[in-house]
Amino acid sequence: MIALEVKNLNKRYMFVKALNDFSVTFEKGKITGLLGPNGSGKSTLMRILSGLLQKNSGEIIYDQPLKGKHLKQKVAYMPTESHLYPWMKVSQVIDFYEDFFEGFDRQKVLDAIKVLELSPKSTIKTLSTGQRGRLKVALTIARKAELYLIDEPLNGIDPISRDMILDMLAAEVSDEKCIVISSHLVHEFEKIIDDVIFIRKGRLELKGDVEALRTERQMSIHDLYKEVYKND
Amino acid sequence: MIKLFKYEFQRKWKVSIGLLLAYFLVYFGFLIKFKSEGSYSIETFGFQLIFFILLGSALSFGSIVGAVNNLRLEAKQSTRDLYFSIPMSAYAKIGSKVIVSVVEVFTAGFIAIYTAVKAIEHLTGVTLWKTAIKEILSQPMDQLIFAVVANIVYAVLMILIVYLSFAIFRSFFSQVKFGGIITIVIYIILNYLLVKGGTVFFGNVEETALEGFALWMMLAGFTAFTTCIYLLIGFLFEKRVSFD
Repeated sequence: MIALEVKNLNKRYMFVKALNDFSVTFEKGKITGLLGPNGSGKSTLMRILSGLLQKNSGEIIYDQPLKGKHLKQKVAYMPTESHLYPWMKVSQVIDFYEDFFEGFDRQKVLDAIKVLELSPKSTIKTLSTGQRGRLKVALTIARKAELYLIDEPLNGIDPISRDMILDMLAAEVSDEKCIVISSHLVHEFEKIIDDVIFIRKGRLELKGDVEALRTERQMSIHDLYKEVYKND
Repeated sequence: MIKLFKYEFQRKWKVSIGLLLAYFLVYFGFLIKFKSEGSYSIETFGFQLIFFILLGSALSFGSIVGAVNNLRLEAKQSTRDLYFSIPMSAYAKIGSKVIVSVVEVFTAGFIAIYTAVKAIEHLTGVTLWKTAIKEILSQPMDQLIFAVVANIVYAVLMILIVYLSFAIFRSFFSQVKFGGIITIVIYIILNYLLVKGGTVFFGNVEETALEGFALWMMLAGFTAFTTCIYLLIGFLFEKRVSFD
């Protein structure tokens, strides 16, 4: 089932076209990998879809009309940078999410932070990059949303935290959810994504089912990535 | 909106307590020093008076900076991705920031004036505070209410003009470098337009005509204008602002 359709989306930053007539569909019940090198337009697309950035033109069609606070309720966006208030304790951040995001699953985060070995008493600013990354993912997936936009969740994250994050994301697939993960670290993501979208200079380069692409091209997604972007 | 206040309070209380402690440390330190140096009269009270006025002004200035930063930092730092992802209308978010800012500015202003007056009283033995309060309370009640409402609306408008500068910058110039300078330019232009507009609308009104109903009508117009500015900021943050 289609969760979201993007039609001829354009976004320009001064002299750079970040998205150039970008059209794509995202489906529910799948994890979609949004792949591309730095500056290819992945984050721009996610920020537009989450309502934090305004598009120049084009259409974004959700499976139901969404705008304003309804859009922000249905779309759970996790940016690359830490967006958590550094002065808050982990427990306060959990309270914050519970206070503002309807249907937030507090127990899910409490369970997750236990597995992730995070103390609710720790202050955000004292957490390592890996710990913050794990907490961000745990908080985002504990939201009750339909579209999850996870931007570069493995950036600056240590290998152990990477595995934990990947496990958390893989466990979230369901028929009601559409999970989109952007990254240029293809090797790590290859094992958890169902669909893949290659984005290049703001344009859709390639889209397909991971298994079908592997069979058709006789190579891993990692190798396909290298082939697609070899001249960049 | 109550929930937004809760987190605004949690965010600010430590800094606010710290600033007040520092203020009172300097205040009482110098009060004791000046007292030990001799006695004063209102006529010979020069440097000390200026000192306490400057100290109070510093506290008020700090609160104004805090009020500006309430939205400036929220729109600038990476935490904006969380704050502006909250499924609440931008009107509620801006409204909570404005209310917190107004409370902050008025509280600091009151502490600054009260402590400065009390310091002068303590050093000179002259009763100022009670005299001033008596004088104020002797005014007709409608004039008192008018003054309070007008001051609150004025403070809200001043904060909103700053916030409108941020909203305009974020809506139309967010990709341009030197954001701080551009925001200041927008702020200056808005203030110029405000003064110009005020002159056009109220410039021809004779002071003697500003009594009773006419005065309240003028305040109503001023409040309606302030509300429009608030709605405009809410609209811009809801529909136009980009967080690049």
